[in-house]
Amino acid sequence: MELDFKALQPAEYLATFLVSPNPLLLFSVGSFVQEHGLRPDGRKADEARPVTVNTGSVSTADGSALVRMGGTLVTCGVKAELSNPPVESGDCGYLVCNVDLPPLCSPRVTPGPPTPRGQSLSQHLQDTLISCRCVDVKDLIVGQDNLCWVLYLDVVCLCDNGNVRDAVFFAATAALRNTSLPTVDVSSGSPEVSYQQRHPLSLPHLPLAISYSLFESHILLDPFHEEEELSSGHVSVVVLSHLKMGQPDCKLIGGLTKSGPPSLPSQKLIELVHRAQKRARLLADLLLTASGDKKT
Amino acid sequence: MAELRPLRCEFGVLERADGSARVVQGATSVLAGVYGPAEVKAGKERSNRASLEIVVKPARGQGGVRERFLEQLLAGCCEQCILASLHPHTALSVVLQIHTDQGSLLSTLCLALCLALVDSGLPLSSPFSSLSTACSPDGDLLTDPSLAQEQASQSLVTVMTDCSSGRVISTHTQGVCSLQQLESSLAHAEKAGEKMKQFYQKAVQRRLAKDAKFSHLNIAI
Repeated sequence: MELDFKALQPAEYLATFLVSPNPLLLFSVGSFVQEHGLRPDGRKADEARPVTVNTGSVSTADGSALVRMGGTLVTCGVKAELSNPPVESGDCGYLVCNVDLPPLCSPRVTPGPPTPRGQSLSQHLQDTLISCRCVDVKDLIVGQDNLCWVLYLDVVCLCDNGNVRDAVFFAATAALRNTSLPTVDVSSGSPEVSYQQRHPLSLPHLPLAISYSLFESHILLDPFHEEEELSSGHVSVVVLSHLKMGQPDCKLIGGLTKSGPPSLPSQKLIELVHRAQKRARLLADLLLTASGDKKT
Repeated sequence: MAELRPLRCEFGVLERADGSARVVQGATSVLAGVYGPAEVKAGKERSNRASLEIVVKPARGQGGVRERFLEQLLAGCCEQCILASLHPHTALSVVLQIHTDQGSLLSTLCLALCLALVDSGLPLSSPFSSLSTACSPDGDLLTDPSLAQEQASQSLVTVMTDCSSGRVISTHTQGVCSLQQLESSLAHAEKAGEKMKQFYQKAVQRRLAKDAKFSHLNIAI
């Protein structure tokens, strides 16, 4: 009966879950769960799915990461190439972000040209990284000799189980932190690249995205795919975390994007930003632990 | 008191569109045309609502990833104000042509979109307005910045608000800002929303009076 209800009226099914006391849970679990606002996967509205991160998982890339958030699986690789700086401003390198959502990742995606969703994710990632100077393109200049690095940041979603944006940002951040560039010696006239001697990429801020779905009057942190599909709007906050005395500091905001109904009062948005800052601290901690910069 | 650049609008600029408006804010100029509710392409038909399509055309060349991004933002904003469920099995398309971009482009696009919708006579849940705020490296807030101010600033926050309730419909930010800057940008946008509502009323009165097509306003919030 429960499955029929879910198939026929998905939105009402989700709405029934979020009210208190929850008749569906009473029906299936008995009187054990009297708590209100549980989502179909058993989380509370402001509870996120478990996150795992593995850095340096692609040996052929200059930096890489594999991130799993619940059922969402995203991998990111950074590849560096030498090139000439752009003609219009000769003092910076390039950062090229590409987010790919292949048909492999979800039945929603069909083969063909890149979807608007993938394009807008790529644009959001690239805008954030460049406008917040997370990667300073001016640091990508090599010597005085009209040479610069091009960083190709390719993100591939392997499994889209909702909230790809957070996973994409986390994977990109982890991969950039993992990136090291070969040393280039320009003193002898022709540039010589030594792949053995590498130096890490400087990364003043770690951009971490935290997204919410707006479903009717509920605000759901880290939505999974069914919630995402049924929700009409979303809010995503990009928190810039930097290291201060070995601890992540998450005061600065690199982006606040709200789109779709319902409209929210501004106090509510500020509260969401506060909550996102708290979660960003946890994510930054995880990243530091994963990259071995922090002993637990 | 925060200054806004002079704002001008003109209705019914396009003869064949169901609603159109040109909005000039400072030196930024945008033209919007609304077509529909009209016949819908197969595959895009929705049984419970009108399908909405927004196209942003750059001043020159073909639209790219940036335009797709603007379209998605504006569609998200529009969806909250159009009563789409009143027009099932139809398509509604809005074309926004950028003439010149001299700063605060997204907020000008948003105003043009709203005024073109008002001109088309489609029922809206409420009019919406938009305000961009730039934060200079010294920490000063500049409302409705010009392109030069935008480029010199370290962040740009664009907020779209519902004119009647003052609630936030959409936001978009670029660059690094602090929580305080974000809060005051939201507060400025709410105040600007009330002023914009008066501007919309004045513009519509002018349009109905048929004496002049232009509505012109110098506003400060």
